[in-house]
Amino acid sequence: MRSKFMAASAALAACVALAACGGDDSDNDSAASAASGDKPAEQAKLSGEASVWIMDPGSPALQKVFKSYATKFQAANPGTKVDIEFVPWAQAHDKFTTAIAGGKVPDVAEMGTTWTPEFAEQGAFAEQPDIGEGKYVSSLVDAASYDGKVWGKPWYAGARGLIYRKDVLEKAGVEPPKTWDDMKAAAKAIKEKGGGIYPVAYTGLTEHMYLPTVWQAGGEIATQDGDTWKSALGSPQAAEAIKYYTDFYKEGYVPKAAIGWEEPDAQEAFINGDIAMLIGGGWGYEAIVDTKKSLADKIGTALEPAGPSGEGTAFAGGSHLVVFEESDNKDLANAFVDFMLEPDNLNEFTSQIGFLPGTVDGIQASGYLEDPIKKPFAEQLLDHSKVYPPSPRWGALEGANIFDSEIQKVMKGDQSPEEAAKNLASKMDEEFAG
Amino acid sequence: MSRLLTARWWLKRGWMYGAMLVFTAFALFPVYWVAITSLKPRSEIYTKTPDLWPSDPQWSRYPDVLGEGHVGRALLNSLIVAGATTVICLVVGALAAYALTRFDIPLRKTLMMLVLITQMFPLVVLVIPLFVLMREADMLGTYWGLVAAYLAFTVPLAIWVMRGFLMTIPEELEHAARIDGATRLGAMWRVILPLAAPGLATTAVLCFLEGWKEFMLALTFMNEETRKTVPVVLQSFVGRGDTDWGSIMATSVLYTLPVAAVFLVLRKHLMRGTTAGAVKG
Amino acid sequence: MTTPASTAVAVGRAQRAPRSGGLQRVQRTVARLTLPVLLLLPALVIIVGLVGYPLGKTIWLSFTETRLGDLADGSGEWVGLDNFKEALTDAQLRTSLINTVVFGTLCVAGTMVLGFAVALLLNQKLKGRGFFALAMLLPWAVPALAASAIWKWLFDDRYGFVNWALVNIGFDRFQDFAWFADRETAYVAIFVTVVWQSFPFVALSLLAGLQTLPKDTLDAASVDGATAWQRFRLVTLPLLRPIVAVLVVFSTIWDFKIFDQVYAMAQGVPDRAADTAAVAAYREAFALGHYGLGSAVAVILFLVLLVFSLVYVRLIGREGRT
Repeated sequence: MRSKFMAASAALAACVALAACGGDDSDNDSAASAASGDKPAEQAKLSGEASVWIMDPGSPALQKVFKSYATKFQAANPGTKVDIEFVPWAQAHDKFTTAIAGGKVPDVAEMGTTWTPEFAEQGAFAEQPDIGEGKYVSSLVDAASYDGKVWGKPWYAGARGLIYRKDVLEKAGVEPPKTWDDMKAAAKAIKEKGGGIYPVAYTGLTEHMYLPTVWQAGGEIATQDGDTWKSALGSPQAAEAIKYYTDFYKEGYVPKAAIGWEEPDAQEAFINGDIAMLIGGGWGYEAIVDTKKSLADKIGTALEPAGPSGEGTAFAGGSHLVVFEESDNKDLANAFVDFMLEPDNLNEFTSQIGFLPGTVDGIQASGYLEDPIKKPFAEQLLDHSKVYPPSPRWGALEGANIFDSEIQKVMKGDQSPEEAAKNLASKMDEEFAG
Repeated sequence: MSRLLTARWWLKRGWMYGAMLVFTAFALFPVYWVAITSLKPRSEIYTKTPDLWPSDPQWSRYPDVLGEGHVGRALLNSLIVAGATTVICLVVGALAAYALTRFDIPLRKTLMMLVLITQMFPLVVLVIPLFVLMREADMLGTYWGLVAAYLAFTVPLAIWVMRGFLMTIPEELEHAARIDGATRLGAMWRVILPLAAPGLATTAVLCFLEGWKEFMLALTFMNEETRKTVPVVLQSFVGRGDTDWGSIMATSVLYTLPVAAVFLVLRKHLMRGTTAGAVKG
Repeated sequence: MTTPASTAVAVGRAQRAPRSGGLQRVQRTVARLTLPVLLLLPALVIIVGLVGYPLGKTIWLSFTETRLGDLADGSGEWVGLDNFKEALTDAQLRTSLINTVVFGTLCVAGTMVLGFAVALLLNQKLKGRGFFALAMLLPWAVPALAASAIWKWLFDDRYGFVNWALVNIGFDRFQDFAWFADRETAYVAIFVTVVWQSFPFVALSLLAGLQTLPKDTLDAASVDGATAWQRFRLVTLPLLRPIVAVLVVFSTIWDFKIFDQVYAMAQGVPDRAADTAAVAAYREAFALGHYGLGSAVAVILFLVLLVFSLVYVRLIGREGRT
């Protein structure tokens, strides 16, 4: 499969090479040393051009941060040129697909963590052999693994915790919930005494809201056997998780329309004071207080409530930085990736978006662990999070969103949690099979 | 007496004004909503009871999106691409439409259908092969690549729409001109063109808007910030965890203004009054 | 009028009648076709040159099992009609095709009716006509992202203007009414959005058509004492038929291919029950990586559109010629 891809792109690579490699070619022999893990920036003089695709951060101010990376890097490495190009999040998967299938890819790209194995299977990325032990957040290294090798370096990550309204919980006379039972009791109390505010927004869309409850119940999402993956959602734990999640809707603890809500809709409702508790990440917290400053004093954060497993496990999501196999200047590409991963550069960006750095050094430099409001998000990521199965098919499962409709049907009362679990398992297995 | 007059006026003309008001409200209210949302502070964009006017208009959004947000540059790119598409499409489409209306070409109906087939596939499945084609032609990332791709979809449209208009123009007018000594092309130029002006103007607006609004191909072909068109830049305000709706709406307002300008320029031809058809042969 | 050349031809014809007659016919045909072919050529070059390959590729893919890796070098496996069978038997895909035909047809009807009403009004000598026309044009110019977002807000269950207004005029059941939680109500909202964005083109084209009509014919009908409705039905409408045919055909093509609005607004409908064929093709191809199946859905949509277009052109177009 990989060789097919390379053959098809060979013609293109030649023309890019003409355009990009205007510089001195004698340094290109250092490719071997770069691949074996040494710092190419110190050993060989870098030259040429690299194009870098970054997911659009959503604001011009953040775009500037990335552009400053390029400027700083070019200043430190005269004779190089780094083009930062922004790709909209919503269409990024399609754009990568088209670029890979159409045979014209960038040198470096930001990759959603659940997409990395998918495109790695196509032979799109260069291996990252110098990933090392203990340098990166380990769950994100797992997410970048396919076929026993690592294909991307963790850049930034986040995990959802519990964001709640202190004033409403106080009014209802409950503490921030620590377990599923607490959560149910708190929802009941808020419904009765919260003054018309809905207790929580468990949405019908956005699988990151409900899939982690399977882990919390003590189940798994899928298991690996050699090269093949098999869904584990047929388990009683999964059914229990679905029951727990959808019961809130059936009990009227969740707004009726939330069956059709995505995560941002729940966030808007929280901002408008319609919701007392929200499953959300640090980025969500940033957006909330940025939109409504008056909420800042009223908000508390905590870990997700623990399920029967004793853990309140959340999904660890984020981005990798990948180098494309078709890049004709991998020295430069790798050097720029490492440059972006230096703690100072990393934090300049992550601190503004409410995510955590993907490197251990970066997290220590971030100051998250000292900030009481941000600490739960950091703890959630470091100690209470997992990644979805790094199967090459996961990106498809996610993109086609095979999950939502089964959950929605339980919410509406059209099927039981057990049926939903069984259907999800068979749908997943169908997609794992291709 | 005067009441009778009012009633009669209402029956004859007044209800038309009433209907006009209703249609205008339907057409403009969402546009108005875009405009006021562009001025609302972030915290007022979603509110329980709709606010019909922002408490504290954020005029600074406009210079912000134009400068930092690259919308100024993107407007220029969109103008170049949509403008070039319109001009080429009109010329190429008008010639073909004329040929398909006034000449007895073998397989004319089949040709018309073939041209139309290009419209019948959802664009999503054509994106990858088109990308490969553009890569082979080394036209990715260029204005011409995008214009060429747009022409492939607008020319069939223009042919069909203009043919529809040409067919409403009696052929006798043209014969009369040719008997008077004009050549075929001369007749086309002097007689048909002025008569078809409303149709041409409509087609122009149509082609312009197709190029102005297209998103998927622009997204796929253009990577450099300096080459992106407005629909692509609009998406840059949608972040991973957060969407800047204020900027999206401000950009949308800026985006509709050139279209209004195009309309005003062509207005004379689009609505030249009901007497214009009275050209006698 | 006897020129040397024509004499020569006449002589030639007398001597070798069959062959030279054929040659002459060919010459005449060539002469007759030179101009129209030259006129057509640029358009055909652009269309065939750019769309020929992608269309052929899509049709070919629809007969293969092709994954992302196969796409780059075209190494998909030939599976005959399997993809078509799956597209027509898979419940979700079949629903999407039916949705396309039913919902698409309703959108065409809505667009044409509103477009006609607006065009006829604009054709009257009313004060403020220019402003009215500009107002009608603006919805067309609003970008799809903003249009879908605005209408989604207007139909929002808690913060939307539509529910707020309906409750305020006495329909209490619209308090927190969730438009996007069911296929039918979601389609109401999407229908309004689609019609809002597509009627300006129809109105503008019909207005242009109305203004191209020969005034004498209309005047004659007026003198004959026909009522306004009779004039419209018996004179205006038949004269406009070629344009109406074009508009119906294109509206059908566009509304059957509808993607943006459905993709943005129908996501919350359970079980993907409101997806249309274009959205389904996208999901199969780009999201799930089944390019063969996605292409098959596109090809079926194409065949449906082809049949509809042929029928429309027959029904409306032919009468226009007589």
